Parts: sequence; structure tokens; C-alpha cells
Amino acid sequence: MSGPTRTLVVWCPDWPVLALGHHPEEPVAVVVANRVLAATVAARQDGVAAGMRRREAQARCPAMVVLDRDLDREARSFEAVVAVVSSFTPWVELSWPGTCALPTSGPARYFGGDRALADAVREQVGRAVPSMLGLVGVGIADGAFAARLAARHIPPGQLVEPGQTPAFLAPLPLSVLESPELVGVLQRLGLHTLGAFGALAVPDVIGRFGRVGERAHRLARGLDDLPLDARMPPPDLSVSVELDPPVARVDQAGFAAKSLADRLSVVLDDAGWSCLRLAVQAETEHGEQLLRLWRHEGALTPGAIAERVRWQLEGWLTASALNRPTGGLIRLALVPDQVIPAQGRQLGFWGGQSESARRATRAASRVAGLLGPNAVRVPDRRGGRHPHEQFSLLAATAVDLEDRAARPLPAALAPWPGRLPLPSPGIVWTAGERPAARVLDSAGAVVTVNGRGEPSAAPFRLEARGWARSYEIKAWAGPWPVEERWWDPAQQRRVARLQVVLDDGGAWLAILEGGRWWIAAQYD
Amino acid sequence: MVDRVAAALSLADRVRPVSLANERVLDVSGPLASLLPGGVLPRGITVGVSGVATSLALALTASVAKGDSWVAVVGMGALGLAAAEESGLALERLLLVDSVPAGQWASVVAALVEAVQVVLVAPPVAAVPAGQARRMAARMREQGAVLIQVAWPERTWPQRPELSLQARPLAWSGIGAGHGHLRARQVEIVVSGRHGADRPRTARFWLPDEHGRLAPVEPEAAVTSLSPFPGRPRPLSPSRAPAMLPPAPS
Repeated sequence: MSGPTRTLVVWCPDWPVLALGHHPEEPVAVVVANRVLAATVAARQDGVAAGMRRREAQARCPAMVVLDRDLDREARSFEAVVAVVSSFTPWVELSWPGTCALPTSGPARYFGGDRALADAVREQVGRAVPSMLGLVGVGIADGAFAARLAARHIPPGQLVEPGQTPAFLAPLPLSVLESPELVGVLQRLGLHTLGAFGALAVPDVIGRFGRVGERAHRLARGLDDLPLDARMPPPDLSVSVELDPPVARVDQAGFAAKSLADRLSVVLDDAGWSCLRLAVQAETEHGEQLLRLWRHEGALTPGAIAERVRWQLEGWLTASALNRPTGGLIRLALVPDQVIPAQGRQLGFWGGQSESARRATRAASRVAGLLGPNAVRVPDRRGGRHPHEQFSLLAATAVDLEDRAARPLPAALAPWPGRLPLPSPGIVWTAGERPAARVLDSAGAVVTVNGRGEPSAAPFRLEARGWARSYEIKAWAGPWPVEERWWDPAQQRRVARLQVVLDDGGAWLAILEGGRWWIAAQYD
Repeated sequence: MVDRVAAALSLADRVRPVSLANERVLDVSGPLASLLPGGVLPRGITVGVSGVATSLALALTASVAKGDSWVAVVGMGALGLAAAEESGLALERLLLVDSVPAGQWASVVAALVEAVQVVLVAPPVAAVPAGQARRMAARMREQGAVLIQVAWPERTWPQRPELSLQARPLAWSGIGAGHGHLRARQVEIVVSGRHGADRPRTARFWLPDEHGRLAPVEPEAAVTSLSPFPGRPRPLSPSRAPAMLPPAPS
């Protein structure tokens, strides 16, 4: 076995924020599941850190703009960086938007050494993406893992000399392994640095932690993170498709990507391989050849392959005029370029990775093909006080359904005091769809609710737009007032909610907002 | 002699149907099993659900969709997902198609039944021509999925369902004149139709109970006075549905 490949890693810090087109000097943060994923320099100077709760971050930096994550856009805009890096060598390898790697042996000789290469890459990337100027991290070390850490931890102008990688890694904390379960156990065993973990005997690590532990142990010792049994596959594993008419639109490309990725996973399944690194190749009408390598730690699942191919095609098609291919794509090929024998993935407790989820993915993409990409949707828990706010819907084609089916939807993060008690209504209208209504008292006047949440009189009749007659209210509960976002004049909202049972037995939820009653939901 | 027995056995083996009729069923768990013929739902049938249609459709789906089976909901954009979850449905294996153009119902449902065991549909009136409905029913039988047709107001299905479930609301409990909250509702569920349900069967349930699920009613808890509605509960007459129509949920 030869030693790890000398690798250069380009790392764009805060990419989830900067990809959305914000300048590092603006306080902006990207939030996922109510926690900060990334923030700009300006926000970090005010004390915002990754992993912080949204509310705490806003308290520290009130002027901060909070955005949702847009992974597709991150991948698309990263193509600008990759285009620059690929001018040094075509063998640029992507693992995730924001990071790419290249082997230095060839380009370093051309540019006059590792140090000169690193400086040239840093300067070119900074010039191509002005918001990255002075921020982009470039690290060179033996192996991609060490180079990635070098890009983050070493000041510009320095690099890890050949053979010094284990010494560079040794003092780093275990958390850089990004395997929280394993790291938790190791820390409880009294191991806190990569050096301490790497000093353990290999058989002991394999005996106790199996494959996962063995891989982490190799990384900690500065060895190549490629598993020993990765090999170039026989050529017949590649799949390709001729696109006629040529594809120039992003949505068409996404569809082609999906079907080709499905074919590749069938081919890989049949041959018993898992794919570690995938080459996405495309040819345009004018004969341009495009190539990118995507790598995955672990192995690429069918959903992950489709996602990466889609990112790549969108990246090419939406690049700036300088980098964009001059014509539509006429041919697309996927070449698994490093594979390992499929070990099967450890199934989750709930079944995971099952055939049924794969079928659901196929069905969803077929319906999306018939009706448009947003036609099939899946629910996602969002949390909220009102029935229509508790879930949001995501396009099924944008979600890895196999991964999602493996476990129940995560519980709501907050208890949401003021939620209506169970059971929940079976029919719920959103703000735009709900019918206008009137709740009347026995004298025929519209019932109002005062600041203390008391009704002006007992509700007696209910009428609503579209109903043939009005109904007598036989029983009622509430009104329960709720005041939301009172600190924000633009978004504040006062709502009183009233449950009613009508004379025909139907039960409804009426809400009073802005002086008007609406039918919000039916307990059908 | 032994040869003959063996020959007869092998012959019996050869003429055996590929799948027995009673293998082509979906097990129904929970309280609804006692009401359905044989405690099962034959694969490939169309079930009509009316009365308090949403809760009943969700309860039926939750009692059939077990293990890793997926559920698709078509044309019910206003479905309360919190209620679906409370009824026991696994939201991580749910596909939602809100609106389908009138000519596309058959192809959409055909694509979905490849992957799911239960499809809930509530198409707008006249959105599904009878020919498409027949094609869909044939596809259902072929794939062994169950089509549940939910009778939302102004939503219809051109064909008579093979099995029909109706939930008549009897009374809500937990809510008074200005106090309490909607806690649970007693309903009477009537099952009728083909497949051994020629004689209608009736039973009382909580739908939903205070956790949002379907639960059997203990005899001593059965409502007698039907308060807060005096007199006999009126079954949901067909005329009620349009009258109660909220603007068609899209």
C-alpha cells in the first residue's frame, strides 16, 4: 500500500451563508431546525456561533438576518469555485458544497511547489468569488482528511510538510472525526485527542469498534481514508444517456439526473458494489466535455447519487456566462470510479433503506414527471400554535425518502404553549383558503372578544360563507386568546379561538382575527 | 400406492391457485377489525367512507398501513396532518398530492399504487370520468392496494365502492356552554357492502378519543341521552353535506 495522496483542500468557510449572496460584513445566519448552521463574520463578532439556538443568536445580534438553508443553491453557486480550482487540474473532487479537493502531485510540480500552488489557488478563488477574498482556506497535507483540517486550522502561508501529517493531527480534538457516537465513547474512555486514539493497537480498535472504528483510527493516524479494498471498477458499471433534444433547463436536467442515478444504483446493486467516488460526465452540443468527481465518506446511496448529479447539472447550467457550457447537454454519463464491495448498510431500528421506500421514491418521481416537481409533497414538522402551522410540506423529489422513512418525524422542539388540546381537527384551512364567518349572540350581534379574552356575549349562532343556512351553537368552548410576536409590529398577531358544536352535530374551530371571524378548521 | 399418493399430491400442488383468496388480504389491527368481515380488508378493493369521513378514513388507514407500508393522499389539500398523526398514521411514510388535473387521475393513482398500500382520494365532482375510475379499480386489484374514497362535501367518486363505512356522529364530550374543550366524540360506524358484509354491521366507537385515535366504547359509557343534542341523533343525510359545505377545500 502506498502512502496517502498529497492533497490540497479548498475550504470556503460559512458557505451556507455566503452562497446565498450575502457579504461577510453583513450579519446573516442560516438556521436549520432552529439552530444556527453557519453565520457570517459580522454575526460571529457579535457572539453568534454555530449550533446556537435561533433565539439566543438573535438576542446577541438583533440586526441579524435569519435565512433558511438552501442546499441546492449552495451546490449551484459552489460551481464557480470549482471551475476556478479545476483550471489547476481536472481531477477536482467534491464531497459537499463548500469543500473540494485535488491531488497536488501534478500541479505542484508545474506551479513550483506546494506553497506556490496553495497561494495561487487562494488568490484565484478570491478573485473569482469576491466575497471569499481573504477568507478561503487552503490546506495541503497527506490525505484528504488531514488536508481538510489543515485548511481550517492552519494560518495562510503554512502547510503540513510531507510526512508531518501524524504530528499535525495528534493534538487535535476527537470531535474533528465528526462521528459523535464514537467520539462520545472514546471520550468516556479517557481519550481526548487524535494522537491518543491513534496510539491504540489496530486489532483492539477493530475488535471493539468494528468497521467504523477502524476507519476513524486510520484517519487519526494520518493514513489514507480510502478503505483498503477500494478499487477501480470494471468499465461496464458506468451508465449513460443520450439527451435528445439537448437539455438546457435546470428542471429537465434534474429529471435526467434522477432517472440515470436510479439506473446506476440498479447496476451497482446487481454487481454488488457500493460507490465511493462518482464521476459525472456531460457532453454539450458543441462538443465540450464536462467532468466532475463527487466523493462520499461511507458510500453513496441511490438518493445521494441522484442529489449530487442534480447539483452538478444545475451548477453547470446556472454558472456565470464565462463558465457556462455554450450549448445544451446531449449526453450524460455516470462512472463509478472508486467502488468497494457492498457491505450492506446497517439498517435503522425502524427498518431503514427498505424496498418500500425505494418504490415510494420512484412513484414520487413519476408523479412529479406527470404534474410538475412540486406536485408530490411530504410533511415536515415545523411547530406552531395553530393547526395549519404545525406542518410544512416539502417537495418529495427534493427529499431523500429512503433516509426519511427510516425514522419517525422528529418531535417538535418546543412545547408551544397555547396549542389547542387534542384531538386535532381533521380538516384544516390555511389563511388564504379559510371561509369568512360570523359568530352571533342571541340578539343577532357579532360576538367580540375583549382584551382579557372574554366574549361580549354567549355565542349563539354560526354562519359562514358558502353555507346555505346558519346553525345554532349547542356547545362552545373558549375563546382562547393567543398573542404572537407582540414584539414585532410587522408580524404581531392576536387571535382568539373558539370551538363550537352546532345543532347538526358538526364541530368547528372558529377564529377571530383582526375583528373578523373565520372558519379555521373542522373536526370532521 | 405411494406413487399414486405422491402423484396426486404433486397434481394438487400444480392446480393450486398461485395465491389463495384469503392470502390476498390486508390485516386490520385495532378496534375496527371486529366490524370488518373476517377482520381483514381484501386487497384491491375500493372502500367508501362517509359521515365523519376524515377521522374514519384516517383511522381505517392507520389500522391497515402497518410495518413499512406507505400511504398516499390525493386531492385532500386541507387534510389536518396533526389529526393524521394522532390517528396513528406514520407521517414519514406519507405522500401528498394536493390537486390533480381532471384528466390525470388515473395515471397519478396508477403511479402511486406501485409504491403504496393505501390511497386516500377525494376528487372534486366530475373530476374522474367513469372510464378512468374503472381503470383505476383494475389497477388497484392488480397491485393489491386499497383505495379509500373520502366523501368530503362536493367530492365524489363515479363508482359505487365495494365496501362502505359510515360514521354517524352521536355526541361530543368534554365541551359545555363556554367551558371544557372538545375531548372525544362517540360515533356509530355502519359497515355494509359486498365481500361478506351484505348484512350491515354496526358498533359504537370513540372517534376521535381524547388522544385522537379510534377506540371502542365501553357499554356503560355509551351515550343514552345524546346530550348536548336532545332527541335521536340524526344520521347524516345526504342533503347535509352540501349545506355544510365550506368552500371546497382545494
